[in-house]
Amino acid sequence: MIAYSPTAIHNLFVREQAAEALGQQCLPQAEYEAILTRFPVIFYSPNLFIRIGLLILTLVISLFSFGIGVLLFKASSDTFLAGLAIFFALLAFAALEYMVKNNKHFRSGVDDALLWGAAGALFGGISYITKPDDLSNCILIFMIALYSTFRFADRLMSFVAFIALMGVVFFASIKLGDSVKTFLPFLIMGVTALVYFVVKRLKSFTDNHLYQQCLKIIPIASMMGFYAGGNYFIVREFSNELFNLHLAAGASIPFGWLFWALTLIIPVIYLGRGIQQRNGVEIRVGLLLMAAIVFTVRYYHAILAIEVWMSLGGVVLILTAFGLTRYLKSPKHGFTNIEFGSADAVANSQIESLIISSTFNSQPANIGGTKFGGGDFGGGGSSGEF
Amino acid sequence: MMRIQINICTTFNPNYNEMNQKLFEQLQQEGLISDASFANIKIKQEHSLLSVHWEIKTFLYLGVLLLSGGFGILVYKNIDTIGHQMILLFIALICGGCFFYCFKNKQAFSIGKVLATNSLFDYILLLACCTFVIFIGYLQFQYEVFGNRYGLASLFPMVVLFFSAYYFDHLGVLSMAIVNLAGWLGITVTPISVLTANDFNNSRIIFTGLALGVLLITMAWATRKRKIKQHFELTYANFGTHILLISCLAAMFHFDAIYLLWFLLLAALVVYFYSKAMADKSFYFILITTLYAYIGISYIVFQLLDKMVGIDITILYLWFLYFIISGIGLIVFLMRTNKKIKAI
Repeated sequence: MIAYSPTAIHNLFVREQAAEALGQQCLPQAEYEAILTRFPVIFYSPNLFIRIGLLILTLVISLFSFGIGVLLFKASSDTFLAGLAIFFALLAFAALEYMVKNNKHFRSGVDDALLWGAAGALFGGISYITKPDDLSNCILIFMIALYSTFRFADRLMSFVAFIALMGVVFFASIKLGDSVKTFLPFLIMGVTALVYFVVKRLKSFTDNHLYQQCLKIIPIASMMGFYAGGNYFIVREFSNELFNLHLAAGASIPFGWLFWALTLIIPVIYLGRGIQQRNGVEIRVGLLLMAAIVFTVRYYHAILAIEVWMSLGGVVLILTAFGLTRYLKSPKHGFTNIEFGSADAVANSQIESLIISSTFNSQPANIGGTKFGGGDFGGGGSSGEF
Repeated sequence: MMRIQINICTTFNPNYNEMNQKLFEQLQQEGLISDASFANIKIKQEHSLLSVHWEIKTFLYLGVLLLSGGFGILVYKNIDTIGHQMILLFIALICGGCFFYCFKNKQAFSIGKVLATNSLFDYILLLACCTFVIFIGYLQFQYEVFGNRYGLASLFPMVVLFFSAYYFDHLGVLSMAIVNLAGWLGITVTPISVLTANDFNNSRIIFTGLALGVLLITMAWATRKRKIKQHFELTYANFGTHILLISCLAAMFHFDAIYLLWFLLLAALVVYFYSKAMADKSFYFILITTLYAYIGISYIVFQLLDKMVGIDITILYLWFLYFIISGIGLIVFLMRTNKKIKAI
């Protein structure tokens, strides 16, 4: 089913685990090296930055090859162009299979670019020729993305497949009429919950590391989707559209209280469970959705001005961080404030500093503005200031 | 009902991302790891810790961002009722308080790397620096303390930022100081807006960019050579490389009468950065210098093709073919470089 060699992926997994054990000082160097020789890598997976470079270049090459194709065939009609796109998509899929099989490319940038390009072109071509409705479009995307997920274990493709599945549920229930449409929020919540539990089950199979990355992203997506299904803002605005309710500004939807309850409770449950079971992913999703609570409440009840919320929120966040830092001076209940994975620490602090320098205003705007708005700068090199 | 509950319990079982015990059991049976190591791993797993370091950091970052933004709007909206002196006093109090905290809790100064006590310290320093910049800006805007010497009004915060960056050892404040330095010279160097906020058709901007780039690269070089805060080198080099190469490309496009001369400069710079990146084994710098060089070479090829063929349908073919062939060539080049670095 999977295009990459399963043993090779298993070897990678063993190496990762051994490196983790070595990093946590559970494994002597000699044993680690024995594991490395026993589980060799045959894949070509370059460094992240080289991967980005190869990805960009492969996309450029694919795009201009398509351009040459268009020029050569003097493609006159749009349908012909769409056909050409499908042809190139199949060509790219073939090239991808070749690169994986013969050149052992694995997350090298080349395979990522070919896969995304091929999937996108295939969908675009078919969709343009057949001109389907929303539901069929979603089904088409779902099929292409699902195939790509199973064949190439690509994270992004598995995420696209999940979104497309939600689209299928959404448009199908609209087609089925009012009786189904009414239960749309619960349908979405049901499907996301189902996906969540199925994927979690899959994870416990022994060979789960083949699809390790997909199996990490789908639970996160389904937790978010489950919340979106019950969120008051989303339910109210969508039902307003779908049922032509023409709600007045302050008016609520039927069973509004239920969706308010879901909006407020689900993130707390995620966060609580995450803390209780020390699951970092659930904690992060819970925290992110806490922000969604604030935005939802604020959208319907503009009690205080936005700047008051910002200041209060800032104070609460800083105080929480202050309290947690104090509390976790030494590790408690399995939580710690120490940064793990120190190999990435240098890169992380560099990225952090870049984010800081681009989001915090370090230059008082009016000073710069006055200076360069004035004649000082337009003088064409005559002033001696530099 | 019972069964479903059991299923839910197992599916929620959290510890999958950590070390896989089943796998290590197999490795032990194969004799690849000793019983002692296996016991170690088992103990580690039972007492595994979850790090919330980056969650706390994110809280602090968002907190400081929201607080400074919120205060900014509050002040702006209520300026008539509060009065300028009160606001200035308030900002000064926050700034002074934060700096006081930093001076009290700082580690001893060293020209090497100093690890902060915790991330709280880092962000309080950041808040102190932000409010200081706002304070000076406000003072100048309202009372024109520095009169018409606008350069002085932005030089002063810049000096304080550089001092804080070195004294307390803070990469974020160093980046802010560099952005400030560039702003003092009249260009924007923040990663998001370096291309959009600058008018690279202005020869003045181009020369300033070149000078700033050279200055920053020199700082990077001196930082390593003199062993003063060596970990700052990467920040200087990152800003410096981008601004220098972007300015050089801009010069090539702008002074198109002598673009070959500028291309020679670009080539020299690229060779320098490339060999430096190879020596440092830095994939990041290899990628960016390669891409900047590619843009420069493509420009030359386009100019030549334009002269030789003129505007015609064949030129489209030639352009497309150029991109395909050069793309393949560059892929081979990057793959070889990757191999070379890994072999060093």
